[in-house]
Amino acid sequence: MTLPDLPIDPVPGLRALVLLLVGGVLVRLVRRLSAVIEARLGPQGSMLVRRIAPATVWLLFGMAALNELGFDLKVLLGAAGVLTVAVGFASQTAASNLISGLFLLAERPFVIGNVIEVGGVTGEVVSIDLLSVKLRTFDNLFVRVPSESLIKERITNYSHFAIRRYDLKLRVDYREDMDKVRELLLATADAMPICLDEPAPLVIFQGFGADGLELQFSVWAARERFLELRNGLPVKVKTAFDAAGVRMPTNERSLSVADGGALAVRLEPPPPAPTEDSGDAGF
Amino acid sequence: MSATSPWPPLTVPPGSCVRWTAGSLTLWVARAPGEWRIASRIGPEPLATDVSVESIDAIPDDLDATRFAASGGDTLVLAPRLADRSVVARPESKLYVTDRAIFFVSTPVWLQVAVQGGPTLLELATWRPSDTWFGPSPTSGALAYASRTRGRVRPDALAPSPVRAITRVEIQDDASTPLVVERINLPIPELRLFDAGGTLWTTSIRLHRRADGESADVQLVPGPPADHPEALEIAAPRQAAPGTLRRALSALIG
Repeated sequence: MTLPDLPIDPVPGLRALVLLLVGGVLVRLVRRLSAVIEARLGPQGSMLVRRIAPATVWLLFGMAALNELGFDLKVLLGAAGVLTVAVGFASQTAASNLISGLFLLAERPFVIGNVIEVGGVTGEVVSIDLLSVKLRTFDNLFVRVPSESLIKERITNYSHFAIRRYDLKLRVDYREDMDKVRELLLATADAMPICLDEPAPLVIFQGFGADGLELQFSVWAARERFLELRNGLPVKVKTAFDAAGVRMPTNERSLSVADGGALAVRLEPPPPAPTEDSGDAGF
Repeated sequence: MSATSPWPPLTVPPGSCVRWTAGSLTLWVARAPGEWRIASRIGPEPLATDVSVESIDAIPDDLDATRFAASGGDTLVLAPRLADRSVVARPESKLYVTDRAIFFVSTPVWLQVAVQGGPTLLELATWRPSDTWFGPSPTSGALAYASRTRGRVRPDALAPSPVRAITRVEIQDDASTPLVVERINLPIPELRLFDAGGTLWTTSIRLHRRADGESADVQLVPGPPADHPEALEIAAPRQAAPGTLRRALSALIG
């Protein structure tokens, strides 16, 4: 028994349909395996696979299906070549961002959740895409940074290492005992559990400033405690200095008179303390 | 039979309040129907040894009390737990180990507060140790606690305390050069806690430096410490660890 002659051969059509169905199944499979892909490649790699894989699969299987149906793909490829040149000229910036994005994904200078500073903007990384990276600043602004900028500019990642050092710059009066100041500073750090014992706190002499001895007090803390250290340590240092009578200079200036002259100084008595019946009670 | 705590349970009837002290930690506990209010404060003396309970009128106003909505009975179980991070301990002076050395380190315990037969309400340190970093550089290593008490060669040289656990550390050195020990990173979360009649002990640690001088086998000696074989286990390790683990020496000794 033979099949009757049909005006159109159905076999190529069926093959094309099968190819499209297989392509569809592959795309669905990629989407279903996204959790596994993310576990192996990370969120950035998973995003890349989820966006590029379906388009690639549809392109390949679509072209195969068209080939089965008898279309001459050389014409299509030729038109695609011309289109590519035109699009390439028009989208140089986008292409540069795309390629920069791929390099960033490979290099991984930061990951989602890190706090970075780039181009004068500091924020938390909320999304890493091919063309750009999105930041959320601490005052809740949304900043889009093109990938090309990230490749060119210096990026500071505040979240990369587990511990950070805080450098407290301070001045003390020239009349103060440096050993006493140093002991006070180290005792202040010792009394704060969030200050790491190691690396040990350091008191570093910076110079003989115009207003006093300039020091840097460097203390380490866990990254998560850095803000607490930055806000808490200066307060505790000030309290310790006040309790010990250590003077921190204000802007005092020494005056000298030219030509050896003298300035007359008159001491004024302190103003009288206000009384309850001072008369001018306001309203 | 293993006990769960060396401290008796704390019964607080509704409408009443108690103050519980163990070492430097003071706990204020108030009970209301369906609710617990708990405040805490750590005193200035890390080696305080008192354990006491007294009834009081109310939680002082200057304290921030945490409220827990919990049904169940009016009794709390107060149990010691070991620290949640490694502890870096120093021997009383720099130690040069040529073949074998033993020393003892005490570390503060954490207090777990749970409703009897019910959920755990909170866990807090009886003494907040200072944070520290153990590692070859600030870019590699791990956060740990710093033990302010020095390691001693005899356990009775350590100040006794109901809120500090003693760990026996034994170092065996097979390398040709002496091992210089200035500080040692103790894996406290991997140890068990034992009650030796009111004194708390942990699993003993045996560190065997291999002949190459760069690596060491760390063994957590099963069972109670050799100094107190009668001790009862009262807390399991926070983290599971194999019985013997080979690690780089730099991860243990500094």
